[in-house]
Amino acid sequence: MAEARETLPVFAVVGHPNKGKSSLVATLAQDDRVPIAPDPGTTTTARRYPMRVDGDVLYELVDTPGFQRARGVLAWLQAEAQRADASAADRPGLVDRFVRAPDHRERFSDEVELLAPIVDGAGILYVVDGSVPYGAEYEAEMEVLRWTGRPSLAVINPIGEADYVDEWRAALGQYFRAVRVFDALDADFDKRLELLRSFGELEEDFRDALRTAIAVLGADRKARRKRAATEIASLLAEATTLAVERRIGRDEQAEHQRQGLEEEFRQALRRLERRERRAVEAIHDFHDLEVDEDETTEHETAQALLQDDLFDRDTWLVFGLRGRDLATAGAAAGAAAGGTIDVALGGASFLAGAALGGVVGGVLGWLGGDRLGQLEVMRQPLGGQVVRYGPAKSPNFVAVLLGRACLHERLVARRAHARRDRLRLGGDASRGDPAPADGGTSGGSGEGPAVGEGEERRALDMRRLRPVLDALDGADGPDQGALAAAIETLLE
Amino acid sequence: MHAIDQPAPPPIRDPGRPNLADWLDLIALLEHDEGLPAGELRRRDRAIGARVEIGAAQSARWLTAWVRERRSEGGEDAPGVATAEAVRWATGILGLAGLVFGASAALGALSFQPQGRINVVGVLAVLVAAPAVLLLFALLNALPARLRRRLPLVGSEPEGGGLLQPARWVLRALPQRLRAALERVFGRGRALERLAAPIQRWGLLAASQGAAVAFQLGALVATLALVVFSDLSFGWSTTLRIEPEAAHRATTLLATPWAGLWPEAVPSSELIEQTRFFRIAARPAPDVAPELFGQWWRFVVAALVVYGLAPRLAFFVFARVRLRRGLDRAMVDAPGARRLLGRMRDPLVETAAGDDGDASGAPSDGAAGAERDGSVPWPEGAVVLSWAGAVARGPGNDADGPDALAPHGEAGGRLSPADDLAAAARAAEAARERDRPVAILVRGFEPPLLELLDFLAELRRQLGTGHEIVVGLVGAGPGDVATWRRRLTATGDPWLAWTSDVPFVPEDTGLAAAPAVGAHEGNGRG
Repeated sequence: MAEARETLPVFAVVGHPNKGKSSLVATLAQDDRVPIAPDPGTTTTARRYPMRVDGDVLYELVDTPGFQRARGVLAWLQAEAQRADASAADRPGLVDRFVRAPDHRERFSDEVELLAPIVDGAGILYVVDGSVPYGAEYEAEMEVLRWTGRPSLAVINPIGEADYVDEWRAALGQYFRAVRVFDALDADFDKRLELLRSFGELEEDFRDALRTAIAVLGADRKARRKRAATEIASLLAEATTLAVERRIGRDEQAEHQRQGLEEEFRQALRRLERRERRAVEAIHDFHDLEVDEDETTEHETAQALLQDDLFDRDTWLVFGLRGRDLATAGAAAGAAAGGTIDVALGGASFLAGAALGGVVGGVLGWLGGDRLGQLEVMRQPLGGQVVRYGPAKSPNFVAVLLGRACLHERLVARRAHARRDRLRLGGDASRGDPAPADGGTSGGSGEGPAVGEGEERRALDMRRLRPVLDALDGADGPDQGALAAAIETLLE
Repeated sequence: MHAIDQPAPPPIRDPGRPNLADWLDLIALLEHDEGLPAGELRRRDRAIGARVEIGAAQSARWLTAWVRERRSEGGEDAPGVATAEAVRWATGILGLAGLVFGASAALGALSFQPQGRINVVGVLAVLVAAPAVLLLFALLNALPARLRRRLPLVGSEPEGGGLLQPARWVLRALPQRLRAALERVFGRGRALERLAAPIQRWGLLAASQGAAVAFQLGALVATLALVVFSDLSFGWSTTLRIEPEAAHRATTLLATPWAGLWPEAVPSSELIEQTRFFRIAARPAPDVAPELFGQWWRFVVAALVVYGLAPRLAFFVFARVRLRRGLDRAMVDAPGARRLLGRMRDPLVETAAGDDGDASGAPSDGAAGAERDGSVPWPEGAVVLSWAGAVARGPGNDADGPDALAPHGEAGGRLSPADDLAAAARAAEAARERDRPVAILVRGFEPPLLELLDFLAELRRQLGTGHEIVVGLVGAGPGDVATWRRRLTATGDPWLAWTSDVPFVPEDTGLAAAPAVGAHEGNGRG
């Protein structure tokens, strides 16, 4: 028992049923698979959530069932204390006896389960809901916890709208060494670290391990954002080279294909974005996150795509050549022929023959390509038209895509793992998904509570976007390393 | 103020004992009524009750009369008749199967003559001993639940189950429509399960015993037919070394019940000695009189009647009687039935003006309609307990209403478990004395704890079955009510109801100002 206390800080998260114990654990353990349900008694056995660094455990959270028969426990303890004429110093021993009594396993299964880690040396994190009034029914369980003699911290978790935090603070102050308010559903990374820090203050032995844990978590946070930036970089690289094409018959109107092709392009783009999001969510330990987008997202994409004419037509030939290829070949052939004349003239023409031949050949090839495309051999067309949509490279397109990806990453990185609702990415991201706190990117327009993708995109002015555009426009295609680095600075 | 020339509705006379259809419909109709405004129910049921001409003690018959009256009015879905028809079908099929099976068993046993003779030992084994073993299982199924649960095979299913119940197998083979009708009753959640268990058990036992009686009758008729229309040659044989004297003693003992009535049916020692046959001697000894071989039939028939038919018949009648009694009881114990009896018997006193007012005062707003599942109006005049300080005791409430609105006692919260026991005993006594329900006010925005459920169980133990307990949810939002409903339903107590319509001022006045305080999203609890 004493040994465990020295080596590993363990914190038992305890309280009334349905007061957000599992939420607190989910948020602190960054585990969106911690079972959280509206019915009391969802947690029936204690579950351990160790924080490990390369296999070494720095601290451990224990999610426990809620108190169900606290008064029964207290009555037993008081009766035993009276019988044995026990002093206050004997109380922890009595709790230990309560936990180990075989017949309590059945009658007080929840209490035995939740007190066991505490008598084994865990610190107590007592969770209450700050949105319902304090009541006498909590006193028995708080008294039982006091009898354990373990260091304790009360956490007021405001689950609903109403506010009884002050009332709770006054009541909890009588039973616990420290009281903190922590919204498990809305706590950002810094708030989580702050709470961990206060865990470390519970007991001298806990402090060093918690300090290390906080440093490790900070570094890990940076590494995760870097990996997320890499994902966003590869999205941009793929999206700015994305093009869809379709072959059509030579008699078909190319213009008729425009709409279908544009839709295909956008679908391919959506697939790329979705893949990137899944990757970013996985980086931040979210497994089944569902994302809601409103129509403004599609609208933004459409607007950005409108700015260049991405629609193009060309000729295709059965040999796999295109109009452009044919013109090049024609020009080469013409130049070669003209060059021969140049040679014959002993260079007196100063390569005018080659130049002229190239131009003539190219023009003939271009025109001929169209003609050739219309030929049929054994009723099979030798060629036709190809219509193409993309690639989109305009700064505006990049800004829209990047803005959206950055917003998503920020929301995911900030999101508490206790939340079970959908992530809202639309223009009206509300309560839980407010604008990034750092005012730098919001361009001074971050006053309103709802800041969505539009603001984020506008905030990406050309000055900040330039390094990204430069990296995308490398001589051999996008420079992924530079791109990721540029995006990382945007995410910070 | 009725129109004067309108003929008075006819009186409702004793409808007789309730049957399965009545009970099923009572439950369905009461369930349907849960969503209706209290005033409307009061008027409608008193109109029926005023016409009933049955002794006040016959509560089950009052309810039966009510069900039949409602059924004759039509309108609501009354699945009882269809379900009872399904049960009749099942019983009929089972009986027919028993008859055919019994006759074939007798024919088979009496035609098996490997050495030119029918072995009486074999016949009795097939027609009397084997059914007796099955009867033993049926008897085990009829044991009280506490004993039954300890038995292997029999106690394997939660209520009235058991592997060896042919009625169950037949139920499984029924057409879908009929099976669905039955499942509607027996698969309605734990609260009804507890009510339905005795009916299910005795119903199944009565059906299977009916089939067994048919089996024995079939066997008896087939045996008699063979005796009359063919020349049966009986004998007895066994590999065991049994002396004829011992066999005679055994048959005489077996024949004791009918020895006085029918002496010819008691085998004589001569008969036993002479009709024994052995493996080796294929033919009987020539000096045996041929008429001796026929004499055995009387013994066989008497054994069939006394050891096969009679116990089955007795057990069948017993199961039927228990089923009837169970139905009587289940009618009165149906959730809401006592409230219905009150509505029918107590004279209707209306003081409000107009016809469309809600005379009984229970608000029938939309929320009450939406929360109909198990939710009841606040029980006026109930014995009220406040759990864990859910409402203030004394002046705060007295100022807002009559004195009766202050809770009569307190439990939970700062009190000890021993205080709870005392409070439960006091409340139960008061409730029994005044014949009123017990209402427990709880903080509805807090989750239901086992501690409270323990208290409810203790209260139920003190009150006995049939007495209503209402949990009043103070300050509960819609999400909380759903949680409480699930938890309270899971207790399986059919007389446990709840309401969020509570005429008390919560202890914390902040709650009254923000009634939706408990209406959290499910999100984020754990």
